Amino acid sequence: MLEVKGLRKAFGPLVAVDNISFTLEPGDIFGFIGSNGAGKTTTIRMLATLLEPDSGTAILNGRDIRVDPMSVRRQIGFMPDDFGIYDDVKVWEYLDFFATVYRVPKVERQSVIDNVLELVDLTAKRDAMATSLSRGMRQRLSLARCLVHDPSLLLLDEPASGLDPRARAELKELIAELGRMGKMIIVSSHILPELADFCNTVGIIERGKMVTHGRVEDIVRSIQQTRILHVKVIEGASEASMFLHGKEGVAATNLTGSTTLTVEFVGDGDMQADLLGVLVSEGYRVIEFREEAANLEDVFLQVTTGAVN
Amino acid sequence: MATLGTWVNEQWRIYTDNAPMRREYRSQLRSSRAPWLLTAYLSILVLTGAAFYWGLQSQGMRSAADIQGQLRTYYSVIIGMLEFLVALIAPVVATVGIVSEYQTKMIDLVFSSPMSSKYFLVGKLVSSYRYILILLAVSLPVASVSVMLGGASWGDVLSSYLLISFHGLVYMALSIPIAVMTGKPIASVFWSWLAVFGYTNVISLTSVLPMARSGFSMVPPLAGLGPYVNVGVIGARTEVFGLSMPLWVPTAFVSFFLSKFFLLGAGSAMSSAGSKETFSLRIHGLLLAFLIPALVTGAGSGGASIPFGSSNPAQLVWPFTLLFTIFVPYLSSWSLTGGSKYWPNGVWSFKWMLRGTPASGLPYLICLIVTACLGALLGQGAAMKLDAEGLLKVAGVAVAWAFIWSLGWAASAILWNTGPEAARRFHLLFMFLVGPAVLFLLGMMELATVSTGSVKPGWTGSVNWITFPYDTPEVAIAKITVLGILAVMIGVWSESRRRAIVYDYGGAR
Repeated sequence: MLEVKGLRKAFGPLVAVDNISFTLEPGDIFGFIGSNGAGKTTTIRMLATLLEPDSGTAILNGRDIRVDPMSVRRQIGFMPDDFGIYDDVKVWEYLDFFATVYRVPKVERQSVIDNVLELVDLTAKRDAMATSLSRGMRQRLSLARCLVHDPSLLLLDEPASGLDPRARAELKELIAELGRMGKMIIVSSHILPELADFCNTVGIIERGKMVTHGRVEDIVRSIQQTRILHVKVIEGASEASMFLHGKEGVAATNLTGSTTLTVEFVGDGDMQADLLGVLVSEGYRVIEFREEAANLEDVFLQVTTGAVN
Repeated sequence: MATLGTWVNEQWRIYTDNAPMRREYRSQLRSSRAPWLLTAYLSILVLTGAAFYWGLQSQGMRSAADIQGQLRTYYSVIIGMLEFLVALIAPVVATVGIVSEYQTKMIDLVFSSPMSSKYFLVGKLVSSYRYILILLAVSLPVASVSVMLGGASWGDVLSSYLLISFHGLVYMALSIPIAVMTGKPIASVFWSWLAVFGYTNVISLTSVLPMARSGFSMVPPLAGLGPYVNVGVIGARTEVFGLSMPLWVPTAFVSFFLSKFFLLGAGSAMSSAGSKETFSLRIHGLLLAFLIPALVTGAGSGGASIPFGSSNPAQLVWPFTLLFTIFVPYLSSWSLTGGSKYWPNGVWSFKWMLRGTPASGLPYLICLIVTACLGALLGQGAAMKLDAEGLLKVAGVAVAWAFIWSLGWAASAILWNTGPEAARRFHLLFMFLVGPAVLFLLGMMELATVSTGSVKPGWTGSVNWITFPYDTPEVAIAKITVLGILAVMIGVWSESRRRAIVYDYGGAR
């Protein structure tokens, strides 16, 4: 479990991070959203024990980053935005370096290296020089490096920047898989669709302050008072629209095609199910009834002002 | 017992399972540049030897004794060239090893891992030292020509190589903190060369001068550290606190001690406030402040090796204090933007003296001076006299250091919001550019006033601190008073400004 409590960091008069707090449980993938210069990297570097907070702290599985940074380092895997790779080593040597540093026992090192290479799909490149790898492969190698010591928290600062769409998709799937493995993951990005797909919690930061944070659905719901329901019927969309108008929770209906309509709805899941039941019992042959996915971009634009430090 | 076991395990891990060391081993000779560099290095050595040998041949028939002497000179030339090349290459190898971590952006990855600075720095030093040993090994065929021609024995060659390897070790250790602090390749190499040049000259001065004073009949304990007298001290013995021993013994001891000291400096620069590296650095600094004056002043050999012909501790310590002013900015600078290490936690704190932070700077400086004077006293034994004049001079040294410290405190008070580095640069700029310029201007003004006959000649002497240890008590008191008042005025102004800044910033931590 990670508890971040009132982290603050100033560089002279510039307060880069101001009183940031949040909590993560195992398996949480936390999307850290903010414009460039909002304070994401500074927060992540403090959590990685590379920057000393002015005040506040973070506790990872009972270890305080200020009191016992070495113990915290053993439990984190940090992948910076602009990470480095030794240019004169082979892929397995690069991982062996970090396995040694993280005190992986000598007898286990080779198998650990093989396992993480397999996880990131780089087994074929085991003996290649690290510099010969493509950007996407390097990104995966860096992720493999973060995993050699089986950390409980991964700090990934803009992990998908500079990747092509395929590499980006592969990386997203890999991060989601790591989340399923029970690791806590903090992923920072300013590309919102990138995070919406696999983060279950998000935090939006602006000028060093956490504007909002929590479950994606909860945040979207708190910002967007009405949900958009997409309804498709085999026929009679216009009648269905009129029928739904005035029903409990329905704020407005809009006809979007001869068989489709959208419903602005205020209510919870039970009320949605009731609405569907009423529609079906009235004889409308419904072939689609879904809530529009949470739109982080809208939320972000709504809660932030665009100001930068 | 468990603690001892943990310590032993940790040391074992540092020296046998060191990741940076192993990585350097793997990659050091892997690049395509390595064979070219080794070829260039050997070519320089071979060409130097060949040029000297052809010079000998061109002189025609000579007596056997003359030839023997010339062959010894040939050997000296080869060793001299080796010393030069090691002094040139060692800082480059050491700084590149460190700076490449910054250049490849690996440093964040390294320090977000549970790697201690000791583990990292020892790995870097040992792997760089191995490179120097490789250089020495490949040069053996060139040096062996001297043995075959009769200019030296294998014992001579091995003794010389042993000393060169110690020199290389110290040069590399000296370069590592510079590389850590600069983080840039050209700057770190340039400053490292400059530091090595300064170190070799100071250390040679402290060893060659006493040798010259004794008519080259005795060899001071530090003589083996200087590169200029390598061949001259082969097989020599020295005396340390009355105990006769081979020169390589104190050379090895001081080399390892200095190397450790420099590595601790790098470790301290990398760590946060109150780190054990800073604690250890300060302890080693005090030991060094005691040891060097003790060894320089004779280490119990009756003061025969006093380099400056004096028995006054101030005269012995003063040249070193001038050298150590380079380090004062690191003790006096503070800032609100550099983390707790530089947070201005007061002007004087014994509690933090060995743990760092700005409040520990001044007490630590005073402690260094006292320790250095004690070392000088012990070194000279019965020859040392510490009378009222001696004490006055020691007090003068302390006041001078306090003045230099107050400049640093003021520099930080002016540049409190731009980081400690800016304050240090400002401080150094003042000491090494503005200070000498003011002295020069005063001299010029005196010359001008002398020519008009309006002022009595010699008044600039009252501000010229270079000659302080040799001043009469009256002049010394005048200088101490002037500088003391200046130190207090600058100190009080900058301290009141510091308090206001800290108050505005939200108070003390």
